[in-house]
Amino acid sequence: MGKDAAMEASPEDFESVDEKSAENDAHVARRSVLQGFGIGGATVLVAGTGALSYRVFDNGVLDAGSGKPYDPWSHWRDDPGPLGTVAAAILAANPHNSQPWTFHVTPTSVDLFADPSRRTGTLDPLGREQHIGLGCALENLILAAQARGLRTDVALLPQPDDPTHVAAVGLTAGPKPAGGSGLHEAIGRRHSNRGPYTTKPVSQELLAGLSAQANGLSGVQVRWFSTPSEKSAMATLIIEATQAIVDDEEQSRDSFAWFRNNRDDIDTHRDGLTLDGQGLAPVVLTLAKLLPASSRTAGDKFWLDQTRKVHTKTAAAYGVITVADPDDPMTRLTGGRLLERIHLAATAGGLALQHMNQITERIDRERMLGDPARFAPSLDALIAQSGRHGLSTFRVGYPVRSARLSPRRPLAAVTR
Amino acid sequence: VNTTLSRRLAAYRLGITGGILGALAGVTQAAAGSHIPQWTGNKASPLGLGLLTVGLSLAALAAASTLRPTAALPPRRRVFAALVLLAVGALCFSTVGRLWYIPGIFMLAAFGVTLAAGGTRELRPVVRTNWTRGLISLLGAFEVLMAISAAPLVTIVTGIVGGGALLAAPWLVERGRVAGTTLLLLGTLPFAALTWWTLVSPLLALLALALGLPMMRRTPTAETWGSPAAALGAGSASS
Repeated sequence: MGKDAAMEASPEDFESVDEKSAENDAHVARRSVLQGFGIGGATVLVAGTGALSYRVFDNGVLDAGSGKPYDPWSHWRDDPGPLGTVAAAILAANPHNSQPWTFHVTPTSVDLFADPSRRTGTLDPLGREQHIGLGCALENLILAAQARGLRTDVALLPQPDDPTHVAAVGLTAGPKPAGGSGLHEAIGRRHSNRGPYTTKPVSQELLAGLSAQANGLSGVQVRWFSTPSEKSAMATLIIEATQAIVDDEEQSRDSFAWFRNNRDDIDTHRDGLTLDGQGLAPVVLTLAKLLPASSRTAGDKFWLDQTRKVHTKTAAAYGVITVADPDDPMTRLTGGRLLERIHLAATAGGLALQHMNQITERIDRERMLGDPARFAPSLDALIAQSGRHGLSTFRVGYPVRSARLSPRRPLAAVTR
Repeated sequence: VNTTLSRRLAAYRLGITGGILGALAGVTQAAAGSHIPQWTGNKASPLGLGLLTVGLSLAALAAASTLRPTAALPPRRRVFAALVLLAVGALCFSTVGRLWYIPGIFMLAAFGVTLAAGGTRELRPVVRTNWTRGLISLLGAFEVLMAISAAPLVTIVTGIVGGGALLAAPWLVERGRVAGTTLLLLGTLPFAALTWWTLVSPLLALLALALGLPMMRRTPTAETWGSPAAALGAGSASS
């Protein structure tokens, strides 16, 4: 508006200018408020992203399976001598990844000891699982010795007055195998796979091949459950046992004690079960790590849910190691050796395997408490072999996704 | 004036000392972190974290050096120096464990004294006009934080380089929109693509792009607004 025109403006024109100015002010104020909300909202979002980024950093979302707790999986072949056999042994399957072992290593022998401080409490009141885990470690140790051209002389429980002295393995120079043993090669790839399995059935030939791993091991066999009716009966019993463990507060607490909820715990303890080991899809695993650590009861609910909807639902077959006397420590150790062989052979054949010991955990718990036996006769009825009892249970199948590594304590922490 | 200058001198000395001690802490983490885990936070990759700490400490050292009482200290530069000291001082508690207790305290003290070295009223327009830039840079720092705990190496490098680009992008846009936008895209997309399953990195990328692209469009470049050096001192860049 020019100066002359303004001077010639009427009072109505001034009123009109005032109204426009007021409208403008209101518009500017509204815009400022909106801008303020926008900036405020953006700030809140950035702050939230910062909190989530810290969870990514702190809980190892981006470095699952790497770092010191997982180094033993990539260095187990490094040492060509007796210590190298221990490096293979500590990668064995074991209850709740409690790693219940120590080793005494000399140039000509390795002695395997149980570590009583690493028992899993009411989950394993009679020491069954600990012996099985030690048997698994012994099998890896023997395989690694043979792969190094060492002949092994194994004595189980060599000192009757020391039940923690589980095995003495003498090592002497022997022929080095021309080709690598398939079982030995699988040691670094063997993991418990708790994820879903595909619908592809496991052939009877393959199961027979896994059964043949019992050759040379006295008193232990594997009984397969691969037909739909057999699988259904086994699944029902496993779910009932899982529910019973969840309902038993002491067992639930003892189980939760071995769960490592965050990366700090993993770095500190280098043992136990982890979120990475649960076989979750990547996005679900990330969400689990970003959210606050779950409580024991929430964890129990999740486990029961997974057992129902994933573990039993997608199992291609179940296997049960059967023995005449599940209470005999030597039999347990031998059963552990067979279990490890089966797991290694399954790994070599592209199969996934998950140990599912809920039934036997309840059997031993009922015995410890003096409760009426509910699960022992049920499992015996499923096995249906006179004089044979279940020592350990697992499922097999073709995996939807690869299993992730579990943490391991370093050699220095388990040798003496 | 004397009080202001003496505070600047104190902030300068605290920042320089913190930077030097921080770099030494980083070297210690890189060289001996795995041997003294109780002091270094029991980190999975002490070498990488040690080197990162050295880099961040050098950045803090550079920021502290701008506080020298003999140099001009426009409000925007003061805010920048304070924020670098705060960010490095806080972040490195996560990289070298207890070794950071002393350098961290020095840097955080330097941050506080820097804010006190002069009026706070003159800082308000700087903070207001650069708020969005600050948010974007903060997102870059978050990306670096995620990257330093990552594996394998390619993810670490992508995250640290990307985070650095995102940190710098909003401040370098005045040199040209193409450069700024390139840095913004470089800082967000590769890391988000590489780690999409974390959900956080795609969220971070979306947020950075949503804030950054409109800001890039609005910000006058060197050709229309003046030299970057002038911009650094003026504190009036639009956001």
